[in-house]
Amino acid sequence: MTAPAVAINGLSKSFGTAQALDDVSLAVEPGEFVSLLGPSGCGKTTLLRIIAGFESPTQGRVFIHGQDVTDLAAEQRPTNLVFQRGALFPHMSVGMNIGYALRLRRWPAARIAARVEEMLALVRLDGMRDRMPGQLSGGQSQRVALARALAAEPKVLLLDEPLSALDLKLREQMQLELRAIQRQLGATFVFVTHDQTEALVMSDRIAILQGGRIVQTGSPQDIYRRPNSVFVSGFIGQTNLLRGRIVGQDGALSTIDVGGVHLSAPTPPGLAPGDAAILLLRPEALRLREPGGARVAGCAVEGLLTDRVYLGHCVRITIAGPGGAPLCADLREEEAEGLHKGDIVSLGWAATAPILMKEDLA
Amino acid sequence: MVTGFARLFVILVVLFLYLPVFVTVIFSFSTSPRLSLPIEGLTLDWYRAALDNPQMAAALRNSLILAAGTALVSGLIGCACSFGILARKSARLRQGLLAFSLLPAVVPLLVTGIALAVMFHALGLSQGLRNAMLGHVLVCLPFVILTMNARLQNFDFSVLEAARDLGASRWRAFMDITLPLIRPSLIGACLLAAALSLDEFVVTWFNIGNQQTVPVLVWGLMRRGVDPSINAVATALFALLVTLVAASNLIGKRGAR
Repeated sequence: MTAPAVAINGLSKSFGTAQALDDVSLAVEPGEFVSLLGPSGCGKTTLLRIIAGFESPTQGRVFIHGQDVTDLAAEQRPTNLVFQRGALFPHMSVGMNIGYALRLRRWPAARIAARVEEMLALVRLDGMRDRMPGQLSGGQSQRVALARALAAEPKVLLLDEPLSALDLKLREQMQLELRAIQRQLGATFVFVTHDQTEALVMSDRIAILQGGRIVQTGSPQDIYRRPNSVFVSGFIGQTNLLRGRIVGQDGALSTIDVGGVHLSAPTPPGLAPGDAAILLLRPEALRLREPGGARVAGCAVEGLLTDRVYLGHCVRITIAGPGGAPLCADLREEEAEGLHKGDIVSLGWAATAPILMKEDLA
Repeated sequence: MVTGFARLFVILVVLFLYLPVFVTVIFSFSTSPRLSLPIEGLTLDWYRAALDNPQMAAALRNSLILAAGTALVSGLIGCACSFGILARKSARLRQGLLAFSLLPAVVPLLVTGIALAVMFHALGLSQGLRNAMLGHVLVCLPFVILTMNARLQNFDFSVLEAARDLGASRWRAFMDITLPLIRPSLIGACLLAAALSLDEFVVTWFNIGNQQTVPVLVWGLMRRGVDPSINAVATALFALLVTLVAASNLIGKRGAR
């Protein structure tokens, strides 16, 4: 069995009294694109900087391809980091920037020149070799930073929100490019971001951090379809939360009482009748139903339409759901036609759409 | 009416600031040995007379040695010091360290001069150029730290991390990245130190013993009455200082960009 590209074992880090990371473990396979996703202050950047060697952990070890690198300085680690704002050397040309790591490794000049051209082609900046960093746009700077970090073929590439300073359009384009480059090279990428869409688009696997802990790890589909907590489901995309109590169980299906309305959902492990529970529903899983039409038991609610927002690709309507909780639904434009504030609207969903989980005891 | 009065006021203030220097410069070129108007003719004789004075040659040499030494020593120490201050993470610590290192500039020069003389005496270090040099470094250092600090405010420390990350040792990162980036600011600060050292008098006088620098010599000559060659010396010094300060600003600004 080959060792993981990055293995983090029981990592903790505190700054004074503040606990930035609390017993974090993670394994990244070779060639995998893993995103560390979380709100600001969750410890994701600290984790990345510990892997890079800029911070040392209070506890725990870091392994890269089986080698314990915990006590190695940043310059001795087979990792390279792409910084948030590029951190290009302002007094060196693009070519000199990209070739810097190779010059440190005493490559012959001809080989360096060839490698620099190769990297420029990879990030689609052919002909820019002699530009100075001050003459580059934000997107170009980040491409140079990427090329510079990849030039010496690091075993693991670390990226610290490299796209966050770019505008939306460019960011979306760079996301796809970055993923294409990663696939092309077969390289291992560890990518830090607070942008859930970015993580969904690019990653093979996402690790969600909250308060210095990894709260869920999984493929983008796993995380989106089967969040294991209200926090994760709220962080990844929009979610409706219906709070209630389990009133009945019939094998695979549980019935939850939400403000007097009985709804059913697949039974999760460890939930028994009488437990306080939460039903999660994605807005795009909800469909408009004909009033008075045949209803599937436990998979529909009726309520007063309180808001209607045009989002371009859909229309988001909000109804007062059971118990008064707002319920959002993303409808197609033609579906939402003729719906107005004050209408009584009936919404339904597939029996497999809702996720039931135990109420997080706060 | 009000603006007319304000304008007159500004003109008077400017005259007050620059007239003495202006008069000195004018009379350094005047043929008359007495300070009197109108000026009868122009000459460079006083410059020649000043340079022919063997004491002046020695004083000039001492001044230049002191200026160069002070520039080098206080430039290096000051640069390293302000770098160290800026690298602190806590803003309060940065502010505190900066204020603490600027404090010596507020101590009256007389106090600094006497204190150094007493201390050197206690240490058994005889008066001379060496003691004066130490005094000059002490006087110039706060100003060097202040200007370096202002110019390094925008220094992006992540480029140093980037260099380390790409495999550079501390030393290589310093030589390849830090030094080229701060060089203009460093040279600017050194020139400023040289300028401050060139016209330092009080601390020098207390510590240089029987040697002389240009300001100390001029002070001695003044006691025997105003010789027009003093005007020439002062004008030359003035020109040198203006050049140094201007160069310090120009070079330093280029680096801060």
